[in-house]
Amino acid sequence: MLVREMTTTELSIAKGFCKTPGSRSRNEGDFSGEQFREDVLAPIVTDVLRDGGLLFVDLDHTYGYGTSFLEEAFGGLIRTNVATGPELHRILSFKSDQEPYLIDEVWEYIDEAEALRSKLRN
Amino acid sequence: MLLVACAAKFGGKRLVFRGTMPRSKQARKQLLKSGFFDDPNVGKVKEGYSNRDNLLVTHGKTSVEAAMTADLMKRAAESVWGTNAYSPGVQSIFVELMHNTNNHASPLAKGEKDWWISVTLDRENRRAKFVFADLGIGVVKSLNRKQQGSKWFDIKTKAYTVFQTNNPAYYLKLILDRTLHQTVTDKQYRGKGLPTIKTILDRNGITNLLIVTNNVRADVSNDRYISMGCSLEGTLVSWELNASNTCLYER
Repeated sequence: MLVREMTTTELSIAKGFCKTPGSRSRNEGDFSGEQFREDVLAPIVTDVLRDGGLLFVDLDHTYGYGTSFLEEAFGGLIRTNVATGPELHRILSFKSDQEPYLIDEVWEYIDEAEALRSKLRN
Repeated sequence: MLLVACAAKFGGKRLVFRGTMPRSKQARKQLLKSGFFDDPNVGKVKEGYSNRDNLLVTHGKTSVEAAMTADLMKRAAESVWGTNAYSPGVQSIFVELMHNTNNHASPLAKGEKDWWISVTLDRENRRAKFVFADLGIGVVKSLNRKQQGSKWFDIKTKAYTVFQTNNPAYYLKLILDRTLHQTVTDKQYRGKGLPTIKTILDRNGITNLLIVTNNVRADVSNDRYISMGCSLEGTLVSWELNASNTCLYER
């Protein structure tokens, strides 16, 4: 039996983007969710999906998140057709030791965006 | 801080902002310490009126300035808990409020209304008090103006059907505890914006949360929501950090 080992890419938002995440859109200020998604997250997700790997996102060590940043970053992956909800469920995992509730929140944003996408398609 | 915001409005219209000092000794002292007279919009004041060693003020911004508020938050947290302490709850609140002002404070366009922040550090008692304000449309009026297509459109009618009241104070309470959204959309809702701030309070991230908007005064910490006889055209949110709240330390 051929067993293919999956590569896991690790992404720390604090180290790979900034410690002060901002709001939703670029036009609202610096370090927005849109900026993070377009410049950092989406290219990595695209590579991981193409290579059949996994993505581990570390949410710790920022100074705190606004909900719109996280929604735009992760829900926005679905709205901009970078990935589908099932694809994100397959490749993504999170670490958030400092604010553990953030993980459920991010999954909720992903699932809401996927529900809307499915609704619009049907 | 609201006085400074008003002074800026006057200044923007090239009007001179004049006034007398408050009669109350305590209010007068607070005003002198607040840094109000240091503001360029206030104009000439007598020397010695600029004692503000315990207050940080910023104002006149419309965008979301997360790096700047993180700096304020860290300075406040370090005054409460010591070196390297920080409060992600306070930073989240700042971002939510700046986002709300940017997105919802003007009925015409995004990014039209300024927001204002003051942070008072009480090192002796290990407390920090935060005030955030804008002179926008206010939460209640903003909600009532939502256009067709918004999940909040015609909220008054929808909510009246369920709750049999149009009391804005009660609606603000329902917004904060997410009941209004859940009732209107029939969906579970973790909440963005104002509900997030209440959640941070419930998680002991902050204390003494107070919201004044339009004719509603919400002492959220004590679950007291009242309709006032007067109205603030805008939104004012204040809260405190003290040693009993939760904090994190930078590595």
